[in-house]
Amino acid sequence: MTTQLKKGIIELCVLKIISDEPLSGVHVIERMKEMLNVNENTVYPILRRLTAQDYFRTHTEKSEIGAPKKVYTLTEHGQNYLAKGLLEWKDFMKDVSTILGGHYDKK
Amino acid sequence: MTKNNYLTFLQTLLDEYVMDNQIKEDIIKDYDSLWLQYEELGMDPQSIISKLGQPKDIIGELTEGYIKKETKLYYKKKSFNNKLIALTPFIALVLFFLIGFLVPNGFIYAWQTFLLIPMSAIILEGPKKNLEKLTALSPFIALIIFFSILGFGFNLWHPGWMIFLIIPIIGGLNHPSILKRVLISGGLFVTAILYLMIDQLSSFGVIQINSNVSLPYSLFVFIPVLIVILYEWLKNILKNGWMYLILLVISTALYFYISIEFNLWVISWLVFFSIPIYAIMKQAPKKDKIIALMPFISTSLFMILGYFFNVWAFAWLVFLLIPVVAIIQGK
Repeated sequence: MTTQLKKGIIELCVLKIISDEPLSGVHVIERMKEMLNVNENTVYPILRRLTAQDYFRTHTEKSEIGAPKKVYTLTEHGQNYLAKGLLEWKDFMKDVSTILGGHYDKK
Repeated sequence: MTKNNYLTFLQTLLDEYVMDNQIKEDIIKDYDSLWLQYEELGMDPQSIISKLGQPKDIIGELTEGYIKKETKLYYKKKSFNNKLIALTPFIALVLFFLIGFLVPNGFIYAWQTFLLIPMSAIILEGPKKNLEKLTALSPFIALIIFFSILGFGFNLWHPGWMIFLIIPIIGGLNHPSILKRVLISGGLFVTAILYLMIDQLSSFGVIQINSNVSLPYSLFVFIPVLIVILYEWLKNILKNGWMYLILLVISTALYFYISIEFNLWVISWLVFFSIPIYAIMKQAPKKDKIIALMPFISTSLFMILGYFFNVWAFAWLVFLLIPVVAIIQGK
């Protein structure tokens, strides 16, 4: 799989995970690691980029004992982008399944 | 690596990019927080680094869309240099007319202002090493000194032509072997001095050499050094193909035949251009061939027009073909 494609898929996964619940960077990294065999190093730069593109807003949660955590929440702009991305992903998967399953018109 | 070392290294790498300080601070603060959170989970520095990534591995992702400071400076400088090079033909033209009209007999010298065009390109965008730059500039420096100072200035056409020896002398200094540098550049320099001494002593009558043959005879002092240069050259020739050797033999035979039979010593040396012309035809990329050939074509035309039609005063115009052809070819 090409790096660009993989990057796009990871981006979509990060958006989806945060759309379910606001999470800190460490939690996003760990959740991604649990479900997908990704290089953890790549997750934070994606969070930064998507925040800069206004798909996430952040707030800092201070804790009595531990380090303050930056928590990421999906914005409305992010929700629209995720919805569009999911639609494109479904169409893409449908086409890929058609080709790989051999269910296409062989002229 | 401790957290502080990690963050300092990351900061150093971020500082290499043209990026808002606020963004850099934010990134460092985030990594600081991520480190602390992993630490709270009981991880050691090594494991934390494997989670966050080595600074040199993540810097590319973090700085996506930003350019390096040195890259920005490089393009800024390059853009300025290119503008300056593009302006040089106009500067040369203005200087040409100023010198031509304001200086007595100015048009005799004025054509040399056009040498500013290739010279500016060599100075601003030419080789990076100073010696290589000087080598590339040496033909132009020699030409200006020969015509403006020694020739027209002091009427020292002979032995003023010897200034052209600075081209192989400086060129020889670029040889990777110190011994060859001494043999070529040192040898040529010492020989030139020796030749000059013999020539001057004979012209003042200190030593007696038949005046008709003194020049050719005294040129024989160049033979040892020419052998060294020829040996070096032949070594390359044998490596790169016999065609060069055949051309050398034919050119030399033709040179002596034309010179002696028709007394055309002034222009017969042009036959030696066949060697670089062959090299260009064989090795240069197709679209660059004509550009590379133009200096040889221009020089040949210059000599032929000057010698056979006696139009030296205008013949230099053919040298303008060099930049014109390069511009047309889109260089």
